[in-house]
Parts: sequence; structure tokens; C-alpha cells
Amino acid sequence: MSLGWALVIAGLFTALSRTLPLLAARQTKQLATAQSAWFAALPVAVLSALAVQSALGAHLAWPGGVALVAALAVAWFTRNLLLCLVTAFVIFGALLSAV
Amino acid sequence: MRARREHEISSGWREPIADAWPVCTFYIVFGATFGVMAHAAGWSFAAVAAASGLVYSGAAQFALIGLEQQGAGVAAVATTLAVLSLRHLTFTTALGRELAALDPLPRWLTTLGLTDEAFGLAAVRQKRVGPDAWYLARVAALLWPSWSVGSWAGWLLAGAVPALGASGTFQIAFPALFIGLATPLARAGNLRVALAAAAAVWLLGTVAAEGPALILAVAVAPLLALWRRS
Repeated sequence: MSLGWALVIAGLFTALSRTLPLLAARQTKQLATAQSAWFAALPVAVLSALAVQSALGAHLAWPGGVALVAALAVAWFTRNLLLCLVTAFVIFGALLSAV
Repeated sequence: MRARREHEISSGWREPIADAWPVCTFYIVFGATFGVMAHAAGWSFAAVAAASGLVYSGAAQFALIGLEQQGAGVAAVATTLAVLSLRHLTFTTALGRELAALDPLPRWLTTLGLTDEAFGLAAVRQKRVGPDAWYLARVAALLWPSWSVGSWAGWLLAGAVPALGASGTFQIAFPALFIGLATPLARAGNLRVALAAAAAVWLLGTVAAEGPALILAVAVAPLLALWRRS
């Protein structure tokens, strides 16, 4: 993959992650609510899950999948995006260190 | 409209500059490190400028250097950047009131210029005086060029300061910056719990496995602080 395309992907992801809550809020008219954060996080989380499955080796794919599923569960039940992210990183880090 | 104007506090430039200059300094030096490393990896000046101007994320940019050197594919690049970018969702969401008070052009520019440090400064400001849209916009306007200029300088001076990229300074400076930004937001009780948890996890991690100790420490500490808060 060329550096140019990598930069395009990087720019796209960082721009989307910064603006998605704003775009979601414009749809729901509820800025800075847990629902808008959840709505914004969902496509990125799904995309991450798909990419983890296809990009990483078999020994790394399952920790990524488990971490994302746990993060999604936490986000669903708590509606707390921070808790969701921390859960993902903790579980992914713990599983990676174990395999 | 009245609710929107309530958050549109015009603080002038003095306070944003006074608060943001340490971070600007850090950005210039840290950006220079990126420029040096990118130069060593064979990146052109245009690529460095594009990365700092358009991606504008230290974590993503440093990761890109590694990914590019390893010849990573599209999926690996996308996965890494998606995970690294997730945190930005929380920034925009938490600062929604400030951003909503801005006119469309400054709102989108400020949103695209949100970083961990800009968020930290704005969150502290929010706690002290309430949502302040223009404070956030001005902080973002100060930090973005600092990072870019730093990375340009690093690339241009790469031959003169070859050791900059390997400097161990950032092992101390980076966590210290975050501690400085986060501490004003923490309540005393939460801070004590977070510090104790981080220290315990770090100590356990250094005994069991050195690598993930720091990650576990910084992740478990806020979890415990959140749990205590609830």
C-alpha cells in the first residue's frame, strides 16, 4: 500500500472520528447526548471489527473480536462511550499479552 | 438561539494563549520528532506536511510510519487507524455545547482540530467557567499550526538533530502532559483511587510482564475512578 493511500485513509478516519458525533447530532437534534455518541461510534466499531477479522493473523483476530464485542456490550448497557473505549483497550491489551 | 448564545463566551486571545502555550511548545518539539522520524523513513516533505495538516493526530502519524515501513496492507492500516481514532468521538461529543455555539465554518474547523490536549484544556475551562465556544476555537487554532510547524522543522533539520527521534524525553514528557491536563478535572477522591490503582497495576505488571503494564495501568485507573464516581 502506497504512503499516499495510507495518508488518505488516515485523514479520512481521523476526520470521521472527529465529526461523526456532530453529524449524528444534526440528525437527532440532540448534541452531546449518549445516544448521539453511540450512534456515531457504531459504524466505526463495526468497521473496526471487520478490519480486525481480516487484517490480523488468526492469533490476534480473536482478541480483537472479543474486545470489540465486550466494548459494544458495555456501550449498550451503560451508554458510556469512555467506558466502552477503556473496556476495549483493557481487554485487547490483556488478551494480547496472554497469547 | 438564546441557549446557543449562552455558550458563546468571547474570552479573547489572552487566556487561550496563556493556557495553551505549554502545549504549543510541546507540540513543536513532539512534531519535530515526527518530522525527524518521517525523514528517516524516507517520507517527502509534502507527505509530512500532508500528514500533519490533514491527519493531525500524533498517534496516527507515528503509527503510519511503522505501518508504512512494514508494508502493511489496507486492512491493517484501516484497523489501526480506526482504533486509534475512536477516542476522538468522545471529544466531539463531550464538547458538543461549545461546538454548537460556533458558526458553521469555525465549528467544523475546530472539530477537525480537536486533539487530546485541546480537549483537556477545553474540559478544564468548561469546569471552571462553563462552556466557552471561542476559547475552544482559539486553543485549536493555536495548537494545529504548532504541530505542523514542528513537523516541518523536524523534517528540515533532520540531518542536524539525528538523535531527536530517539530522545527518551518523551517517555516522561508525554505522560506528564496528560497528568497536567487531567488533574484539574479530577476530584480528590477519584484522583487518589486512580493513582493507587495505576500504581498497583503498574507494580503487578512489572513483575508479571513489562510490556502491557503501562497500558493496563492507564486503563484500569480511570475505570476505577468512574466506578467510584457512580
